[in-house]
Amino acid sequence: MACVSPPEPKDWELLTYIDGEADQRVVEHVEQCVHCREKAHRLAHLQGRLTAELYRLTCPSPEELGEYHLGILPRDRAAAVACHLAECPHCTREVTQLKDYLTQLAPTLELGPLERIKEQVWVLVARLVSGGPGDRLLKQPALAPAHAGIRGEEDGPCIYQADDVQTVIEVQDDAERPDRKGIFGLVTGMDTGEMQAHLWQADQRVAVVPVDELGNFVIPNLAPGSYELILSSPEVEIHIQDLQVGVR
Amino acid sequence: MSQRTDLRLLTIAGIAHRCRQETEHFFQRQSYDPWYCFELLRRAIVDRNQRAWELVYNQYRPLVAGWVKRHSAFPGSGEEIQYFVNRAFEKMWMALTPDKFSHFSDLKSLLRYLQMCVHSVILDQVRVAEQAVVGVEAEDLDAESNATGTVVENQALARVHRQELWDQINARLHDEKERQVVYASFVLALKPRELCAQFRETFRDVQEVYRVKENVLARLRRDAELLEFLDGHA
Repeated sequence: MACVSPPEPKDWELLTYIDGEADQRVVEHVEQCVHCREKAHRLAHLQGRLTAELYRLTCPSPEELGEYHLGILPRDRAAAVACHLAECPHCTREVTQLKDYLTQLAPTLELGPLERIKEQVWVLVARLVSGGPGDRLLKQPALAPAHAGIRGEEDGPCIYQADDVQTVIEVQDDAERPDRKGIFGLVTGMDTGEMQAHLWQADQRVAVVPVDELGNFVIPNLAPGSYELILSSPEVEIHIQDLQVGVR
Repeated sequence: MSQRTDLRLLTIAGIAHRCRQETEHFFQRQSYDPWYCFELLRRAIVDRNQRAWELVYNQYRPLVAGWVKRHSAFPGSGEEIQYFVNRAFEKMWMALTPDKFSHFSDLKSLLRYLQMCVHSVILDQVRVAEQAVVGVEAEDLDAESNATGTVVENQALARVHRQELWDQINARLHDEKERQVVYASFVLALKPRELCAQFRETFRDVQEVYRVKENVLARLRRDAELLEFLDGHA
């Protein structure tokens, strides 16, 4: 098949036709000429295949662009990304989009000055001062076997001290479930009106109970094991780590 | 009361507890102490402590879900919020290595990084969708000319093969103008008019761009080896 009306348009003119940029003469020719239309189609096909294979092949990942924007890319990579941004409108648009997004979310990470009214909480780690294994060993006969970690009902209460605050912990069998234990606690040396006792095990919170105004609290129905007890009030938090409950 | 406890004396549970309390303060718009959450993240990232990381995930999952929802590209993504939440945490876990942690001096900067990860995972999805559109356009042309191939096959092209094709094409270019035309036309998918505007110091006018493109395409079409390579991945 030959061109119906030679001279046929040059390839670059067919490329303008593909892009919708051709002048009227080329448009009319291609619409009338099957030969040139097929030629234009083959050119468009090749362009389409190349674009499908190569599109954004050299673009940094969104994450690398993000690290560039946050200023934490190594210097050599930052320089390479800067060069790329100078010629890539897609990545430039994505960085602008990231910038806008972070600006939009910035208030989710900030407090206004009028909102800064609450005092910070003091966190104290309590130490065992009475009732632990060391305390028991002192009371044992010289050659008695040492059963490290036995506390609770067999040994009586454990006393923990954090600054001026003393906490007495006693572990007893749970009255309703013999295979379970209960913690009975008493906090002295501070106002316990708004205090709560949080019990954690293996990084999961397993119980939260209120501490009454006299400093008493009870946490029932516990499997034997190692726990962390956190006594939390608006001003002070006391952490009692490695609290052994019914472990022999 | 005595001086504040060294955070490193606290257990992960103790840190997580305090982080949760402080975050609640923040959401109640009260002042809060960010250092417990920072310490939890430090243990997760620097110590690569899996349990600390799980607590970070549980602590910040609702916040991150809110960030996903507010991203302008999320509604058109066709994915669930939770999908992007999980991808964002994965990305942070993979990308934020212990040696990078020194770049972060406070909780706010770490959370900003997490926000960047949310943006990144949504953009990953956007790029895949764009690539699919480009592939579909090429396939439409293929279909019209009775060629074979599927979008899925195009998408499945290994990056290494695409890179190889790019290298082969580059090896056939004669000068910097040709390189810029090919790069801008097929890697950046710019039309000659856009290309001319982008590289206005290199090209006199849009016609020059068309002529360079004409020469390069003619050369590539005559190159049997290259066409075979290209068709081999169609």
